[in-house]
Amino acid sequence: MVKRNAVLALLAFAALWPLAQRGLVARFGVDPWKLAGFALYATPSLPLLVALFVPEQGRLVLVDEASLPEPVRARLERFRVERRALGRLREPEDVARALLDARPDASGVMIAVQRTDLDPRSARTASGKEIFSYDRSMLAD
Amino acid sequence: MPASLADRVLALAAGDAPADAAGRLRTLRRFVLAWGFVRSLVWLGAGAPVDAGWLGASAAALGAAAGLAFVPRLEHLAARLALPALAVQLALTFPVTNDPWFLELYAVALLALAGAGGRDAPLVLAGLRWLTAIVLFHTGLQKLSYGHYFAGDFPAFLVGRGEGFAALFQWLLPAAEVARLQGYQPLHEGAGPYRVAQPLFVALSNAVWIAELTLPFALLWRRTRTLAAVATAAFVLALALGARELGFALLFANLALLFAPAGWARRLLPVFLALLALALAATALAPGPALLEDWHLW
Repeated sequence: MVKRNAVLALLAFAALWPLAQRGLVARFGVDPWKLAGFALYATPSLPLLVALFVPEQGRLVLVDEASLPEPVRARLERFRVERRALGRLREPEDVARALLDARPDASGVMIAVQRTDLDPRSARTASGKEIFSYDRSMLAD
Repeated sequence: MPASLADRVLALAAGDAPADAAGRLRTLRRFVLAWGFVRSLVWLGAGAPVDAGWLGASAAALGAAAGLAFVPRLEHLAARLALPALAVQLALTFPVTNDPWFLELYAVALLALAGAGGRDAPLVLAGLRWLTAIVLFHTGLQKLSYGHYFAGDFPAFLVGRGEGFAALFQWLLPAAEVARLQGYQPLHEGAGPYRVAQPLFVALSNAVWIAELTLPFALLWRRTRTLAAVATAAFVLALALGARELGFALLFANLALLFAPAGWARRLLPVFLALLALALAATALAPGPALLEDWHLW
């Protein structure tokens, strides 16, 4: 009976979880190709564009990623990968902290995240942008 | 005591004699665990961006599990040994763990429930068949829910990118249409339209999700089971070879063979194991991510 219940529980999970995953995609922009939704090849899974900006002399200046220390670049790359998979469930506060630690001159950082999807009505790509702004004082422990 | 609804549902995928069920599980267990072992080695060879020590340890455990699967007296322990290794791999790869890996996990978890001497084999076999039907159904349901197959948009998008199963669809389009689709930069706002007018292309696009939604029922219905098993294996292999998703194709084809006459999977096992050996040899000859990315081995 225990094994029968275990089989039924696993099958129930396999049957119901993809519906929950579809909800996570709709609500949080989770990658349809991830988290066991079995939606591979159902819709495009395009790379995220992530850009960092810091304020300099009253305007925002794009940060050259190649100029960042390796640990910051690694954290940024990790954010790109995890954000693509988890959507809005993954916020970039750790990237902001790492960048501000590496750039003591910067008073804050703005992180722009652009996600591109295929619009089923027009069959054209459509992008959505989200901006995360962090002030150094905001991130102080 | 009357059978519960759950028992009646499970029974739809059951009906094998215990010895037959145990034989089927033995074949699948050998393939799935060998698949997991080779997959882990391919990850190692490709330099997967995870802790190599833990990945190597989990690969070793999966290798031991695959070896146990070929020792009849101990075979029931094989999947149980593999489960902790898969748990380690989940911790290493989450949240970017790919979907075929989860199918492997579910299959191994079910196989771990089979006892010594084929005990509970019919129950586990029914579970594995249901798992196969459920996953195939969801692949179709998801395509239906995103709505990119009705007018062929997603296959057209793949043709434009030269990705996935583009090769399966591309030959249905005139060269000018292929050139148009390939001319778009998808990360540019408003790129497209990824839509084509060729009726055969659109029909094939719709056939994909319709097949994925209907084949599970044909697999579960005994009278159509063998035919559906052949159709499913052929369908998955064609799609996956078109998409170069070799790893998923091999795993799913073996699960589909659970619905075919008992001897088929056993006779085909050496062929599938040879394909795994070929993937491993190719990885050894060409280490690095290129092969993995070209063939989506895993």
